[in-house]
Amino acid sequence: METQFAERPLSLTEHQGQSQQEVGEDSHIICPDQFVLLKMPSGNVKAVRLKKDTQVSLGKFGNFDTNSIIGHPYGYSYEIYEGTKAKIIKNVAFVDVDDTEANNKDIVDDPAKQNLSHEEIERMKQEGVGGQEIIKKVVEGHSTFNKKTEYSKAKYIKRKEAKFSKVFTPVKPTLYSVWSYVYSNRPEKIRDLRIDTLSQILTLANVHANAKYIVVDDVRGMLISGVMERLGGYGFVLGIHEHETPNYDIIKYMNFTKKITDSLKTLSWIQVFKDDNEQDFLYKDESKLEEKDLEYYLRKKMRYERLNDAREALWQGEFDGLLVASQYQPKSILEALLPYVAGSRPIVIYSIHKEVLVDAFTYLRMSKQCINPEITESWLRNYQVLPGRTHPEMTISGGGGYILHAKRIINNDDPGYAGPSVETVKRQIDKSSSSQDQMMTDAIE
Amino acid sequence: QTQTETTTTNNYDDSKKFVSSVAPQIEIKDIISNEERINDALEMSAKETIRNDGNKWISCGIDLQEALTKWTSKEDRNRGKDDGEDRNAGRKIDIIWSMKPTDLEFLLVNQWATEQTRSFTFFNDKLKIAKNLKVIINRIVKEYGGTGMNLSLLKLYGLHVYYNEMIVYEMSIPFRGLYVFREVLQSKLPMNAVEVGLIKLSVPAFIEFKKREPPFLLKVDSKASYNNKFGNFKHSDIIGKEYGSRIPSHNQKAYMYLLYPTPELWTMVLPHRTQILYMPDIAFITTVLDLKPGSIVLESGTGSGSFSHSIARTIAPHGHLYTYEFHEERAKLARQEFSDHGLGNIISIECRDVCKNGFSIENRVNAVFLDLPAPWEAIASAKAAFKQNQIGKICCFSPCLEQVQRTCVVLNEAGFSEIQMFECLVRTHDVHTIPVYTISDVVAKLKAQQAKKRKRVSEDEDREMEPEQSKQGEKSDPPNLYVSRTTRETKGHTSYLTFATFSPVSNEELNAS
Repeated sequence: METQFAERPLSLTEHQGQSQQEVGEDSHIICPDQFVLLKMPSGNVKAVRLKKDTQVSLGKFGNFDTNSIIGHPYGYSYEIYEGTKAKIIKNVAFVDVDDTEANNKDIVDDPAKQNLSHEEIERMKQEGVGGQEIIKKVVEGHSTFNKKTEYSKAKYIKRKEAKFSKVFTPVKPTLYSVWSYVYSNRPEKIRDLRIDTLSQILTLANVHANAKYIVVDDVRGMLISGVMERLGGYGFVLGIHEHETPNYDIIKYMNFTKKITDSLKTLSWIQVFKDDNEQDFLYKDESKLEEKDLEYYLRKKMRYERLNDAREALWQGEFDGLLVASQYQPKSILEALLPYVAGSRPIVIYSIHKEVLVDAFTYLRMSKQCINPEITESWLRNYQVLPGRTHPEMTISGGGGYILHAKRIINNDDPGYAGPSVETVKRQIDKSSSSQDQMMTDAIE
Repeated sequence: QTQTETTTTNNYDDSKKFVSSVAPQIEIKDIISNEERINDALEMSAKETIRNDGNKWISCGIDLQEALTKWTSKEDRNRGKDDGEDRNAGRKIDIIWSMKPTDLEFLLVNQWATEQTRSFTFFNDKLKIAKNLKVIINRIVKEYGGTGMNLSLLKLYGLHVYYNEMIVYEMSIPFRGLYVFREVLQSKLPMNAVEVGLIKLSVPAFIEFKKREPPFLLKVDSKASYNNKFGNFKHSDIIGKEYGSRIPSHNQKAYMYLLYPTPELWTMVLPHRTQILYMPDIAFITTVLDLKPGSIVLESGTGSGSFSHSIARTIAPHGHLYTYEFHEERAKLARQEFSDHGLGNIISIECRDVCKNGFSIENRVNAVFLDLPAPWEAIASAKAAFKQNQIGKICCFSPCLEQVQRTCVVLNEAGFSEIQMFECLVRTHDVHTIPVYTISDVVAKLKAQQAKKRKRVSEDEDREMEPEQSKQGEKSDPPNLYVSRTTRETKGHTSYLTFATFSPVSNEELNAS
């Protein structure tokens, strides 16, 4: 197996000099004209295309000057102070809580316990008192704060932080952080595709550099962003969509370099099929055109050539994988695109509805063009890990969707094949159901 | 001679040559690698007996028919049983042939491993060999216990071939009730590497065996052929074919598929030296650690190299993986595999105890993966390995909660942020067609049964009525439903995945220190 991986094999010493940034221009620094995700103390995330010399509003948490974060590396948190200035503070995971004698038996729920009034809090906010200060005052103002257990205290402080703190964290857009942003705001945009399922799609499809993939992405570009990221600009991905221009708006959050965005070719479904009525582009003599006509002509020519390039790429076939996350019937998608997938390469189809995949599964089995079809479902649970308080989260995702994956095979018409024909197999399935022998269906490959 | 094989045995002639070269004191009459040959050899041979002389193997001819009837019991003959079921329960012996004894027993057991058991195939097979040898020795004791034969001198041998490793076990019974099972020989099979291909075996519908065989690795040699219970496959038929092709067997009765090598397939077939990572964890960790072309990654321990292959695939062409393994033999094997698979440029492996001596690199990586019994011991050194001027991601992979808790405390103290812990599991949904009968079908069936009863009581009376009644009893074809269902057992736990973020060292901190 020749090394299809190392396009430019680097020695160990060469690596010492190269960083991701130099080679792939992947920036770990907050740059202007790029998207940044801002995580607020409430846990909510805001996506902003950062511009120099302006301010960004974080709603009730205040505003800050963009220049105070531009040029810094990702990984710091910032506190807003004196209006719109922002300074770096330490990002702390959790505070160790020692157990004390306190328990909550004397605690009675009564709003009168808070001595600090709402007006006083508002005044402090106006004066620009730092969030941590406000919280300290709120805690001091609580008459029975010391009677709470240490755990309750920590929870109380955390709630107040979510309300009053003016700390925000710029988060670097990655596949995970962008997915998290989209999923927590509008999961329907990505058809409830959860990150573990998305990761498995990319791994099952063996997405890697120097390969070419066909992707049917009807999840606003979430899937194709993953493919583009794993290609890194080496090879290309062909996205097939149903509009004039594809609706891949999630791509913009990824801050892809030009090399990576250039690796995306797109085709609309109508362009996938050869139409006898279509006409070839009329090439004109550019020297004979007037300036305004020339501009129009060049644009049309570029569009045509790009379209033609994508079509030729598709019809050449031998793709390294087919990835689908779409609301359309998988059978029809497979009928159109399966011929372009190379032998033994993966087909991976995502749906939030299992029944859709059950249909596709039986189609794949009958078609004899694939082996090992399998429907899988992923389960993901996160835990709170704190000293003395470790347990799974109380609420988790109810489901992340289903995956159907299989491998393409070829040579079905091999005269050496001594097995039954598709019709025979079908008859056997129908007959077997009346004899209640389900094992027969397992034998169909 | 007692012999056991797994599906990974693939070269009959090599095995025989090897055993004679490695263990000359063991005189092997014949190593038999598939059922057909077993039948041939046993039926053909006359009742020749070579006396057991110390360490010599013996091989005896037997009268197969008689042996089968006399010695095998119903539960022993479960050839047709699905290997996927009851894999771990009880005594699972496929076939036992034994001979009319003079001094010693001759038994043969054939075993196969399935996809689901891959993770503990090696140890399970060892257990099975022990169990089978125990059964055999019990029978001998039962049969000859009172005859004055000195059974404490009896030794039975089991041969375990696992990928390219060969192990010989010995079972003896020095005192009644005391079984001694031990490993007496361990060695490697020589492999003639020409080309590497991953091959999948499949069986067409009309053959009795309904379950698929799991994929396995075949080192292609133009002169060799591969045998298993389905048939004989010539390697020369494979060379030059496209991936995804179907390769028929010699007698065209079976076929297999050529699969394009991927790290996921490698994870399914690689020889386990340790517990490995599987696709769901590999996929999720890859995403959360933000791995992509160009990433520089640190991994410890390398183990069997399952995750290492996946990482290499993802970070190519210009990324790099620094991986550390403290076990010398495993490090050597992994290094050889990486080189064989063309990954020598992307992966640097070092044999090192990172918990005691730290990592050998600093200020280099974007991501760290720790799969160690005590990851907290390596965290300080891992922290130094990160590129200090940018964020990085770390993942600690631990099966036990206590390890996770300790890891989190240390991560927190070391200044890591966004500490999160997950578990991720995948389950399969099997698809079938089922008939869905209605109550009218049931009523019709009952009516037909009643009609049959009445017919038996007074046949002459009902003869005219018969055709009508049987028409009523006929049920129409029920509608079929394509359904899916979950499996009865599924993976419950692999490990807890603890993630954290490394923050770049700020100028203030640099100035302060």
